[in-house]
Amino acid sequence: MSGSAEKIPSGAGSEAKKEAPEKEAVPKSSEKNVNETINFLSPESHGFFNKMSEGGKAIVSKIYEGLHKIPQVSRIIGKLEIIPRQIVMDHYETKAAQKKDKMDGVDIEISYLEKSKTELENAVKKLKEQKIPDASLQIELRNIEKRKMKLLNSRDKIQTKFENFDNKMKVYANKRDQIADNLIGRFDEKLKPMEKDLGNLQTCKERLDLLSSAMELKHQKKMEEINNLEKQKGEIEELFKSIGKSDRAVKRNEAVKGLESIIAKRRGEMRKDKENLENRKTKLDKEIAKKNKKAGPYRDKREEFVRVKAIRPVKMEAPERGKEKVFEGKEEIKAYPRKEYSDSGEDENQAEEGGSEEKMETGTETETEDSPEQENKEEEKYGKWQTVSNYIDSWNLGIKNSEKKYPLLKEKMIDLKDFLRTSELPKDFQLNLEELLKLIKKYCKFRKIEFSDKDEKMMNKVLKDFEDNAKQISKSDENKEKAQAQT
Amino acid sequence: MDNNNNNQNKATGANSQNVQDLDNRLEALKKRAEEIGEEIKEINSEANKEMDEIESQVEKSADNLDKIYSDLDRAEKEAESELDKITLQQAEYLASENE
Repeated sequence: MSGSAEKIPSGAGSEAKKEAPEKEAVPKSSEKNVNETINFLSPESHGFFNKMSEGGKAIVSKIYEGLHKIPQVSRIIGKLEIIPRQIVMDHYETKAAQKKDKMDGVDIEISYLEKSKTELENAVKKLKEQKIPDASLQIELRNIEKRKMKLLNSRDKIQTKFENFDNKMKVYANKRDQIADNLIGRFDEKLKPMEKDLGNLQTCKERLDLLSSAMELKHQKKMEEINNLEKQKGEIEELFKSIGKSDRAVKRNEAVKGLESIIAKRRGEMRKDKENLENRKTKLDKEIAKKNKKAGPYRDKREEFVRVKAIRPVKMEAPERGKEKVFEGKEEIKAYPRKEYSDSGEDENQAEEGGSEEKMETGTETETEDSPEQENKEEEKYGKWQTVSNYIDSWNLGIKNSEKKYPLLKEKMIDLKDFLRTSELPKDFQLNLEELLKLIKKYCKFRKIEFSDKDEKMMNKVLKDFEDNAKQISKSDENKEKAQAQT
Repeated sequence: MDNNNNNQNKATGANSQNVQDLDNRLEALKKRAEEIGEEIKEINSEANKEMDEIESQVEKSADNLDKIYSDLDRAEKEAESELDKITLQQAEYLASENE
């Protein structure tokens, strides 16, 4: 289908495209679509578009398809609304939702495993109480743990992908929002003075209407006066006739003729003046109406931008993940000594030997491994015995010593003076390694120094070795002092 | 005969007086018509002055509005251009993801 779409002539290309979009991950774009799409793009983007891959152009064509039905003046609204919906919903949101469903599925599986584990643990407990062997069940329990571990690993990967899609969706939404915000801001900035000027125009219109009405009244009054003059002229003409003057003689009377002429002239002048004023008023009215009409769409657009921005991506919440705690214990290695079966005397001897063996072992053990109680005591004694400056100096020394082998590590050296100044800690401030690492991370973030998880692990290792060495030295010093004190 | 002549003279005298009165009245009307003409001119002149002022204010506000509309159109175009830019970038990124 995809192959045939390429061979179909451009006129039918869009039809082929419409038939096949669901089946193909990347729809094919015909030349016609590309040409049409480019019409929807701003001129500044034409260059970038022409350099895009075929796949990219096809996606753009698909996205901009929806703009066909939108008139040119509302195209920006279309782009603010449709495009994010196309990109966000058709791609990221769908993918994020798919991952979320998968995660939920895995969670259900894990909960079933947990349930099985609990049931099995209860069974093991009962067997133990009845002194029945439970090793196979223990193995089954461990298998459940292994399966759970696999599921959790898989869930982690899915959630990472989900978070990735979720973030991409939000990044795009934020970019669009930023553009919408800028646009709304500029509109708000301009709409205020626009309303002021429209207000002025309205005032002008009202003043014009008032002037026009007043003029009308004034002209009317003057017209009445002229009509009155004409009436009086008529009366005088009648009087002339009554004293024996003929019509013709009256009409030829210079005063009558003069008055008639003036009256006609005045009427003409008033009509002309009225017409001129009316024309001017009409012209101004039109101009005011035109500006008012143009304002409407801009007001509407501002509201549309705000409404479009209110369309948010779907919220999909995934639980926050924490770091798994590292198992720090060790498997105790035992020699498993065997008792010899003999009389009580031999038993006692054996017991002594066994005891001495045990002591040796203990002795050995104490050399290689402390008991938990002793470890706690050590933690109390040595937990915060190192100072900030000791830790940081030893870290920097470690890097310096490895400079030849790992020259890039030099970037990871910490400026002690700067660290102390910014953290406002004295150099002899005592703290444990965990606390120091927290501070270092925050310091690096503040100073914009890259400090990855890998760096943290390395620092942790180096400083732990430093701590252990220092403890050993301190212990041996203590032992020497004790020995000297005894002698 | 003298009486008739006297009567005729008296009538002619009265006629002349009336014509004179009527002419005077006509002249007064003419004068008033001229005055009305001046008044109309003044009314017209004031009206046109007012119109000029209103026209000037309308022109000023209209120019401001044209400038504002032009700024808003430009803001839209710039926003559209920005949107196109990020859309094209996203599309290219999506295309590379799909490959």
